[in-house]
Amino acid sequence: MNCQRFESMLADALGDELSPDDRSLFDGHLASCDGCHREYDADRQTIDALKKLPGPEAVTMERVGPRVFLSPLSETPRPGFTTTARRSAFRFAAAILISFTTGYALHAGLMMDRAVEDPTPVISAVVASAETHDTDTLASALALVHQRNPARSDLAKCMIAMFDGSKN
Amino acid sequence: MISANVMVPSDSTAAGDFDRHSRDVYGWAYRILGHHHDALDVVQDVFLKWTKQCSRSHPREARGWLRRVTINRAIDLQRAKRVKTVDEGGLEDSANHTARDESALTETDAGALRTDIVSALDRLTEIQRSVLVAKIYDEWTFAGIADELGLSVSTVKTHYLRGVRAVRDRLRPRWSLEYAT
Repeated sequence: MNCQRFESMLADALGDELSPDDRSLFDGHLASCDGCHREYDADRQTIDALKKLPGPEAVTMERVGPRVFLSPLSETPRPGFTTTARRSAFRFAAAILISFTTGYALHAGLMMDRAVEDPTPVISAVVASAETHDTDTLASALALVHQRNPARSDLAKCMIAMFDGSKN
Repeated sequence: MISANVMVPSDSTAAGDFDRHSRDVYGWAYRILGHHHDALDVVQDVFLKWTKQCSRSHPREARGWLRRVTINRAIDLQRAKRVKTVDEGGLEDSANHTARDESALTETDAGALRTDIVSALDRLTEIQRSVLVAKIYDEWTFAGIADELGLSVSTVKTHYLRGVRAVRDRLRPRWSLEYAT
């Protein structure tokens, strides 16, 4: 193959559209012609330099009425509570409940109310359910606290109502 | 949070076309400018031009029209933002850069390379720019570009080669590119 033929194939070579047969002819001439080799190498480096201009990260496009919002995918918030936010809310609620239940148990002990059963199993159930995010066990523990001391568990009623609401 | 709040024309066809290509418009602008907010400014400008154009006549190939206008606008913006001017064909400093080794490019070098590339693209014809961007960044085939621009495949290839060579000659003084002497 001569240099003229090589030149006619250059655009396809630089555009990565050479057929396999043409590719072998092209490479063969490259190996044997220093001049064409230098030209091709300089062109290839130019294209590589052009490719160095980085593109943006992927964006999402959302249309709300007449307005279009473009946001990078990494920053697109998910609708509603995220799993992380849900877990944080659960832990916060569990911490309040544990504090309440522990305080209640201590108060019941100080009042020497024989009708109150040992609250330790209830507290253990609350702590266990908080660690495992088991809302059903937690709700049951709350209900048990309320059942045993209905007159003193207004806060428990509120907590039960709150968890019933979040499950829905 | 980086977002664009772009008003879209009420005409459903024009709006639909812009919707389909808005990410590409942003991407083309970002390649040239390298900055999110600047790219979003270009998206806004291109939208305004798009609405004006569509009020007169709807371009046959929306994507090709948007690409051409976006690149032109981005280059205009980059030119306006450029602080340093480079002498025509001269060396700005004696540092010798190697464009091949990406790992050797510092942030300063990367910025200088971008400036020189955009300057080189600025000197191409609109067709050469469109062909280069479509081929290198959008990775279209020559046949696809020819169809979009309404040209023959051989003409597209010629524009491509000439565009690459023009950019090469522009980059040569400051970036070590092997070339035939």
